[in-house]
Amino acid sequence: MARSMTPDDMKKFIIETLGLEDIEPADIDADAPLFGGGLGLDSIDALELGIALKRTYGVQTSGENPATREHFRSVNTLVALVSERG
Amino acid sequence: MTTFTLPVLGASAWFEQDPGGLEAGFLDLACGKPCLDEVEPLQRRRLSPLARGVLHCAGRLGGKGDLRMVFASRHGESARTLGLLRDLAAGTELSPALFAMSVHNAVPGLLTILRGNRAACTALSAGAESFGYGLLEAFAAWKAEPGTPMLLLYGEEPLPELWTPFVPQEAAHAVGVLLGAEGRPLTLRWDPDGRGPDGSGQSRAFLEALGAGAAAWAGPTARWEWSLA
Repeated sequence: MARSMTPDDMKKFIIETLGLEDIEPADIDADAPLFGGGLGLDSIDALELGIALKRTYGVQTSGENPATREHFRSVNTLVALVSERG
Repeated sequence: MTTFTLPVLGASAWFEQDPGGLEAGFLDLACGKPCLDEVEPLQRRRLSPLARGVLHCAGRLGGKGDLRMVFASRHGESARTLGLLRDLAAGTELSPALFAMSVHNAVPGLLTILRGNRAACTALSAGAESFGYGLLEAFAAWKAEPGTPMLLLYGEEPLPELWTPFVPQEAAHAVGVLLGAEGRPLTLRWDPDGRGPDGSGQSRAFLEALGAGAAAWAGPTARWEWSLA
């Protein structure tokens, strides 16, 4: 079943999952790179996010799959991933 | 009985709740919200309450550059460990962030990353006497190389309820002690003939000694008596 998820929902999910203190959804650009960018997230955050997406939305991701990198690029690409597969 | 003289440059303590009865004096004492000015908000994302208390104490004592450290804690990040064990039992995938931070040297490791500190670091646990043996280890390392200071960081958090029937509880607190030449002499009389039960509160007794001038505490391997010169 497709889920309706907004970029704001995904920002809140990321903030809560990774425990980002003092960060508001408005501080995150939905189209900007999540990793290696201004947020300073690293590979452990990426793994954490992958597991949380699986637990909460049932979305399977694989580090082996080159498409995963594109799915994890930004808030908007993650929203598209959950909407398609969640 | 063996006597050691430790040169104390500074000491800091953090308690989640005011323990009452401790004199600040020589000690930098804080209760409540830890001060994490040294840590960028984004870098606080993996810090447990224990890590926050320990980093508070480290921050209050300063010490830039490649500062050698000993980290001591009886139980470390027990709440995180239990969460991981429960996930394993349930066949759920482990949280990488929790796993990365569940090792005993995670807190000093994080501090070295934050400060760009490449000096050696030891992490130990010694039962009810984890604070005392941590400080003794720091002193021994300082003696071997007295030209550079040595930092002891110690912290405990209450154990998850599952384990509380088996071990005496410690309040959530952390202590930092910076040793170095020119430090104020603190005498430790370590007496293996004056043993006591497996209890709690060894670090508290040490902090009392810094305020009142002297205090003693007995644990499973020795009686520890500290006095300021």
